[in-house]
Parts: sequence; C-alpha cells; structure tokens
Amino acid sequence: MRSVPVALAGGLALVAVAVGGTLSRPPVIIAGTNSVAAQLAAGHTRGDTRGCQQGGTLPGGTAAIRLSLSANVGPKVALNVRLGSRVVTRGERDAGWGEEETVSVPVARVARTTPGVVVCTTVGPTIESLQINGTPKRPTPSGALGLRDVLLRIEYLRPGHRSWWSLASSVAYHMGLGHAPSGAWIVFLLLVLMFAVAALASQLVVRELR
Amino acid sequence: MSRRGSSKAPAGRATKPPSVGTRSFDRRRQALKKQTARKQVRRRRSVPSPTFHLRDALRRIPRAALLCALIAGLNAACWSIITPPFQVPDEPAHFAYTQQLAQNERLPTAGGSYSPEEGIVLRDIHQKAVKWHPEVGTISSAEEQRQLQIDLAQHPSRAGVGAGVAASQPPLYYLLEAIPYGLGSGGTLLDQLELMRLLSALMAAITAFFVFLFVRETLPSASWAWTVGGLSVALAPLLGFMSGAVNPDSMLAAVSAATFYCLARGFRCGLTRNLAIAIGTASAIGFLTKLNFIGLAPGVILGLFVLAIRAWRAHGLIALRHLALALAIAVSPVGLYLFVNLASGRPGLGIVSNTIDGWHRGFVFREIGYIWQFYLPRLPGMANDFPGLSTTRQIWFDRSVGLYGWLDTSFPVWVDTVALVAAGLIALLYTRSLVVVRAVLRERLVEFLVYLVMTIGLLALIGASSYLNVSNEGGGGWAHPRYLLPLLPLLGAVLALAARGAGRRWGPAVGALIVVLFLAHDIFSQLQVIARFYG
Repeated sequence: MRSVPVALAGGLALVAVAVGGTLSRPPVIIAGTNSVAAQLAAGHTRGDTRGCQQGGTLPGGTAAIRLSLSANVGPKVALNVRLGSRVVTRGERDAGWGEEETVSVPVARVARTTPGVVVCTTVGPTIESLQINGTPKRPTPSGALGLRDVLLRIEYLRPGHRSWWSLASSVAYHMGLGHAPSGAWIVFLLLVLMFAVAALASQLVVRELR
Repeated sequence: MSRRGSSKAPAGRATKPPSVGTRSFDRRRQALKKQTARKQVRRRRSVPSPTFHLRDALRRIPRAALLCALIAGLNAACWSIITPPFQVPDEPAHFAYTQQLAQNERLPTAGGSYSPEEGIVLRDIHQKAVKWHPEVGTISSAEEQRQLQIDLAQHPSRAGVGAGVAASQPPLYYLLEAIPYGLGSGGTLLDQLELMRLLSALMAAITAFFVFLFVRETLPSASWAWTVGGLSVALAPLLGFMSGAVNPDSMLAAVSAATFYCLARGFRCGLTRNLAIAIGTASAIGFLTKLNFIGLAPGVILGLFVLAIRAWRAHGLIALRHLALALAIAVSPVGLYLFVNLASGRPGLGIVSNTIDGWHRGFVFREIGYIWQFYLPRLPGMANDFPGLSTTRQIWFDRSVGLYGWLDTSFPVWVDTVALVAAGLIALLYTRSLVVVRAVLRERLVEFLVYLVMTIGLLALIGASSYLNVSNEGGGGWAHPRYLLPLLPLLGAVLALAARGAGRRWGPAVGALIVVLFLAHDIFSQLQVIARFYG
C-alpha cells in the first residue's frame, strides 16, 4: 500500500518545513520596561479586580506584554494600553497559565513607539490568591495590598532582529554549560539521537503499517 | 518437562496389576481406580499453566515492540540532555532522596537540608533564579562554568538530611537510582545526575514496550494499529520530559503499563499461575514506586476478581488459589510500608493517609464535587470551585499540549487552539471506530469496566490530594498532566482505535500521520525548551 509512505513522507516534509520556518524567525526579546522593581509578594488579590498605572514608553513592534503576577493556576488577564482616551493596543490571556512569577499577555502588534502610556490590567476570578510582584505605591505591611496598591513590573516584548539560525552557535555553546557531559559537542550528539529516533520511527511505520 | 507430561507417568504405573491375592487385588484395584479418577479430575480442574521457557518467550516478543522501546529510550535520553539540571518539578528533592539513601543508608526526612554538594550546585547553576522565571536562562558564561567546576572539584560533603516533598514517597525507585548514583560516584554530582536520568530513560523504554503489548492484547485483530499506539506513546514529549529527569513518575508509568498489559493478557488468555504472580509483582512494585499507584489498586483488584471468577467457572478452586497468590504478593509491600511508617511515627500510608483522614472528617460530598470539577464542567447544585476556569480545556488539555521545566515553559497560546483541532479529529475517528466495533465492545464490557475503574481511581486520588492541598494550604491545587502518565496504555489504545476509525483502506496512512504528529509535537517541545533555557 503506497498511501503509508506517501503520508509519512508528506508529514515529515511538513515538519521539516515548519521547523525551518520556526528557526528562520527571531526569538522574542525585551524591547523595554517600565523600570519598576518586581519585589516578590508585594501584594495579593482574589481576582475580579482592575488596576491602572503609568506604563512608560511602549516600544514599536511590541507583540506581548509581560506582567509581574504569579499563580499556580492563573486567572484570565486582560490588558488595555491607552494614551489619553485612545486605546493603543489591547490583549488578553485565558485562565490556566502558570506556574510562573510572570504572565505574558499577547497584544495586537504596536505600529510605532508611544511614550506616556497608561496600562490597565483586569484580572478575572481566581481559584487561589494571586500573588502580585512589584513595588508598593505606599508603605504598607507586605501582603495587605491589592492590584491598585502595587506598581507592577511591565516588560514589552517584541521579535528580535536576528533569526534562531543566526543564533545557533551561541545557543549550542550555552547548551554545553552547566551540564554533564559539558561542551557544545553535546548538541551534535543530540542531533544524531533525534535523527536516529525519526529514522527508526519512519522505518517502523513503513514496515508495520501495511 | 511439562507438568502434564510428568503427571502421566505415576498414573500409568499405578494401573499395573500387583501380584497378590484376588480379593485384596480387587480392593487395591478399586482403590487405585478411585485414586486415578481423582487425579484425572484434579488435572482437568487445574488451570493450564504452560512451562515457561525464557528463550521462547524472548523469541515471541514482537520486534516492533522492541523498536518502540528503543525509540522511547533514545527520546528520553535526548530530553535528559536538553533539560538543565534540576529544572524539572521536584528533581532536587528526588536527587536528595537517592543521595541520602546511598550515603546514609537510611530513609531521608521531609525537614532538613540537602547535602552541601547539592546546595553548591543549585547555587552555582542559579537554579532558584531560573525556576519559574521563563525570562531567565541557565548559566551562559565561561566564568560561571569555571566556578561550578572549581566548587565541584573541592569535593563538598555529600551527607544531607532532608529530601523535601520526596520524603513521603516509598523507596524502590530511589533504591534503583542508587545504582547509577554509585556508578558515577567517581565523578561530579552532575555526572551522577545524568546517569540517574538515563535510568529514568530506560523506564520510558519499558513503558513504550508494555504499551505496545497492551494495545496488541486489546486490539488483537489489527496488527498494524499496534505500532500506531506504541510508537505514538514512545514519542510523547511528556513521557520523554519526565523520563529524562530524576522523578519516580517515570517508573510509575512503566509499572502501570506492565500492570495494564498483564490484566489485558488475563482477559485474553485466562488467569494462569504465572500471570497471577506477574500481576501481583507488578502491583507490589507499583506500590513501592509511588503512592499514586494506590489509585489504580481498586481497578486491579476488580480485574483480578473478574479473572478469578472466569477461571473458577472453567477450572474450579485452583483459580481462587491464583487470586489469593496475586493479592498476597501485591499487598505484602503495603503491609511492610504500613509497618515501617507506623513504627517510625509517620502516617501509615504517607500522604495518602491525609486523604483518607479527610474522608473521615466528613469532606466526602464537598470533595466529590471538587474532584468532579477538577476534570469536568460543573453540574447544577455544585459549589463553584473553579470560577472563571474550564479545567478540562485550560488545565488538562492546554497543559498536556506543553508545560515543561518547572511548569514555566509553554508554547504560545495559539498552539493550544491548533492542538485542539488535531485532538478533535482524533476524537472523531476514535468515536467512529467505537461505533464500528460496538458488538465487540459489548462482549468485552467487563474488561473495559476494569480499565475505567483504574482510571477513575487514579483521577479521584489526584483530585483528592489537590483538594486537601487547597483546604490546608489555600493553594491552587496540583494540576499537571504528568500525574496521568500511568494511563498511557489507554492513550495508546485510543490512538490505535482512532487510526482504525479511518477504515482499512486509509487507516494505515492516518496511523502514519498520527505518529508524525507526535514526532512533530516532540521536536517542537524540545525546541521550546531549548529556546527557553538557552536562547
């Protein structure tokens, strides 16, 4: 039956194209921040709340905004970035994220750099206390503050300028550190192993699926 | 020599007439006749138990099953290289358990610190700064690497006291991990950790092997589909991720797959003595590996009873002896574990005791509502335990798509939506297959009921643990798909059935595409982890 080799070859070709396409794109980088320090557990909230704060300069190209909120199972988070009464960009992240000390919210891509924006954060209902990491607006015992009382650390994320391909050697060097065995050669070992996995799996599929 | 062959000889000798007086000869002949008849009845009643030849058994193993095992092992080995040391949930605690077992030759405690050596490594690789901070990568400079090597070269002490969250777990996995730990004792802690991770990778191989065999037993008529189930599980990134780390979940998955296979074999071939021993041994190993195996126990016991009743109808009381044998082997480590825990002043069944305690304190109805919503949409009349959250989709599905590192590394949100489409197509094919084979389903309803009870038991245990965590500590509960790894054999069967759902003509091609889908998922998961830690 020829359909199996055709399906397998087509599928693998699609995977190869997808991997190539992904590696041709640049990684996400931090384009700017609001320069607020993210002090862990500066406040807590049970959700269903909203807070606005000065967001500094919103860099052009921003595609996601990272906020200093943490949870095991995070609530829905919606963002609205305004300049005066004009909405510059907005976005939301569904509930269920975590476990992280931050949450990234994808937003509509920002065309050009906009200084002096206000970032409004709306947090949906939570199943646990949501930890707010940031700088308190006024001196109060830690933990007694809510979303309106704490300045969140905001990071603006956008795609970088260099593709993953061009970063390959630096990633390989990085992968060889802090491991045993160490050295960039482990990347080649990894490639050999993964090609072996793909080849063995393909051989098995062609032989058995008849 | 077979048991049947050996039992024939004395019976034949017994029928030879003795050279004595006629009356006494008649009496003896009648007595011997009765004795022979009794032996024949006993022989008829005994369950056939073919002699076990290791070489024959090895020859009967399908090559495809071995290849699935090899692929799963290699894949997990890749994950062991990709994931930075101690950036897998609770790996520092599991490593500490093994280290203290090997160094101190006694079980560690929950309190107390890790060894100075582990503490130094955690500090030098910035483990705390990286954990839960997806924006922070691992060490990236030659100076940091040099510092790590200098500190390790000073041979800091390996004696610690505590193993944190791992301390409540039974010791079998850690005892096995002590072997690669010992083999690597001439090197650094990082050498030992990598060797220990490779033992976990071996567990992934065992898991895939038994998943293949389970699918073969449950779907005997579609040999091509066995490979779809076995290979897809072998390539599952969650299995690779967890089995590329020091974590007893890897061994739990392997021993659960073996248990599923033994039960499926029993449903197909009947409960023999060897199989009873195998089920009992697999269960005993499961109990000694991770407490979560207790969730599977009700289903395993039900399965054994069903198999024993079937065997009893055909072969009589000997079947009950096999049941007793299996249960005795399975339960013996639980008794030992209870004894050791009670003797050392700990809760009898470790953290599972807390769950049972909770039931005694009248949590039952509240807890059932919570456990239901932990997996499924809320029913009318239930308190809302998960406001604003669809647990089925946003916890169990989305997190199965990809959540690596300390559960801090995930795909972009749109990937979950794409994955939902693929999962929907597989679900459609699976449903079609169920409709087509509904007559067979009806015949094997009891068998599927056993697997269902095993599934519900495990889900209930995880849900109850999460409920207690929420009640006692006010956290968000424990919700990670790795706890469902013991159910991988069922995933293998579902995928094989889904491929069959496309019909005989297109089924193999669809099966090939399902395997490619899992391979792609695995590759992109690895790239995601590489980008997060080393990008």
